[in-house]
Amino acid sequence: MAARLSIRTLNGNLTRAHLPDVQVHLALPKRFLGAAIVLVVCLMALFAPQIVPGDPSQIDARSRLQAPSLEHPFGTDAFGRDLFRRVVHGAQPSLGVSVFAVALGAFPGILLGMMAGRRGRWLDHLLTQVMDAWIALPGVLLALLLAAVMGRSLVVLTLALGVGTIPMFYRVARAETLRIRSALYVEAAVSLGADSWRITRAHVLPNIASSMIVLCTVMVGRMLLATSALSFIGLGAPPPSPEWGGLLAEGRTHMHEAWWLMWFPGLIIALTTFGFYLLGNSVRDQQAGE
Amino acid sequence: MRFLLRRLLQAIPTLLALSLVVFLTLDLVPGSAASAVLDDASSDAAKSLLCQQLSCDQPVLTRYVSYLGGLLHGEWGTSIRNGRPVFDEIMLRLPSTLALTVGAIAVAALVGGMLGSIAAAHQGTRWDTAITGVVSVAASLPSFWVALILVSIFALQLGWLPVFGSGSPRHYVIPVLSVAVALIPGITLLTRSSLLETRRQMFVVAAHARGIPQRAVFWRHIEPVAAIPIVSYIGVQAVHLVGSLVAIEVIFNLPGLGGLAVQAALDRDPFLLQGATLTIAVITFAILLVVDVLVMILDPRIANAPA
Repeated sequence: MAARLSIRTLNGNLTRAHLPDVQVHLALPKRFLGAAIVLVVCLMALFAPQIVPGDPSQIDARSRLQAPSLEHPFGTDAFGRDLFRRVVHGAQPSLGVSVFAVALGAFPGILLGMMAGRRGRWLDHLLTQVMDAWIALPGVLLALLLAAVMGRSLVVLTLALGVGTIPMFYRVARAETLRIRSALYVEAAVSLGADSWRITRAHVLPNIASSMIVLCTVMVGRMLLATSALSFIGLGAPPPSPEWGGLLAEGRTHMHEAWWLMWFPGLIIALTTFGFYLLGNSVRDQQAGE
Repeated sequence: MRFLLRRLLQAIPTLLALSLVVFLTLDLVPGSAASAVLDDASSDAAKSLLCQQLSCDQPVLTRYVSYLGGLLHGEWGTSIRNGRPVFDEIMLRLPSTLALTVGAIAVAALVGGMLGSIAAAHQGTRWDTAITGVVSVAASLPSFWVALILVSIFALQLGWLPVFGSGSPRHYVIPVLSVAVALIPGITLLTRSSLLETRRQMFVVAAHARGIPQRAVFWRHIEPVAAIPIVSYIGVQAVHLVGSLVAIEVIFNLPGLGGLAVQAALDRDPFLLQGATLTIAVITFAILLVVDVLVMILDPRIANAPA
């Protein structure tokens, strides 16, 4: 019995370690700050042309590599393009890939996780084995494979990152479903003769929804880091796109002479990721409090 | 021992499935490898010649089985771009990747473990607040950006370290640090919470009550137990490590597997990409296995547990 128990705890630890659980220990109004950052970035993604009008790829040979000034708050790049405008316009591809990748991974992952948790037995065994193998193929390698096959584009990147996150959502959804499986309200529903689908939809899903939302929020931040890293090494959108990782790749070639090309895109990636972590964390803290 | 054997056996079907997925992804897509390498302008004769070399007239499964057989014999196919054997190419680049991976994990475990221990020892003080605050922020930094910043400060401005390239251990200082930065926040916070949790356990209280010196209680009783979740965490993070590893190798032009895989993907070089991807997957598995063994040593209860 004791041995069984220890395996359980070990698995508990592993599940916890699998969670992209970024604890944020800061004496800050987490929820307010996180929500504010996320809101600003979302507004940038949706209304970039209204916020900073003009074409982000417009070349101006007269103003090459200018340091930040009132006219160009973030400076200009080697083609004289305004970096501030490019950063604001870059929110859409950067955030778009992250959000769609999470949606792509969350939907099948959570569905399968709930099924495995509800049914148990062979289905659970099979799915868990498959997902364990799946997790060994990191999204980055998947992105490399798909890029070789389908060419480089933001769609391919989204697909690869999304498919790569399915096991993560599966694991957490399964663990959460198992946690509430023996809850009284589930047993009551079973004894009233509710079918499996109804129990999943009306009892399991609403009760794991909040932790799934937290997971999704944190994952968007994590996907943003992955997206920018992959774009940076040339697997994202081709050059004129203002995607943030791509901006950093351009900044890298001029890091000797133009510090702003490297600092501002990097800071915006870090700040946005931080915003999503803060938001997810504040919600989790509140849940734990309840 | 039985535990170890079981873990090894479990790895085999997983690796087989993985190799099949990799093989099929690069195979079942519209356009054979031949047409990926040669553009439309090349003659049909050239295409069919290449096709013959790749034996693409045979069914997929036949080719997969023969590829698999080749893998076991060290015949991993040849690179389409430069015609060199894939196996040699990979063995040439393995040391660099291993050095980077092991170095980064070691540095991260050391720094993260130390920071976490300090924070736990001084729980609730300014030290604790400062450490947890800093690592919370550090968790959202992209590691390749950290690499660029470190280069611009320590290589370009101060000139203490070489900029890019490889050759001496000094070239690996910044790459190892940048990969480690991605791991340190998680390890620090987990060390802290794990130590705090273990400290409250009854066996620790009992050890104190028996009059065992503080230092001995910490190293002999608290540390091994508190380390278990941290070691498993490192294993799990190994999977995500690959992501930052690839970007770092590309930035620093290190002769590693990540850079090789990226080049192969951009060149559409199927055998090279297959080889590199599978090797990276095997490394990931090896790390997971080492972690399992370590956990088993730290927690003997697991080895004796029924399946």
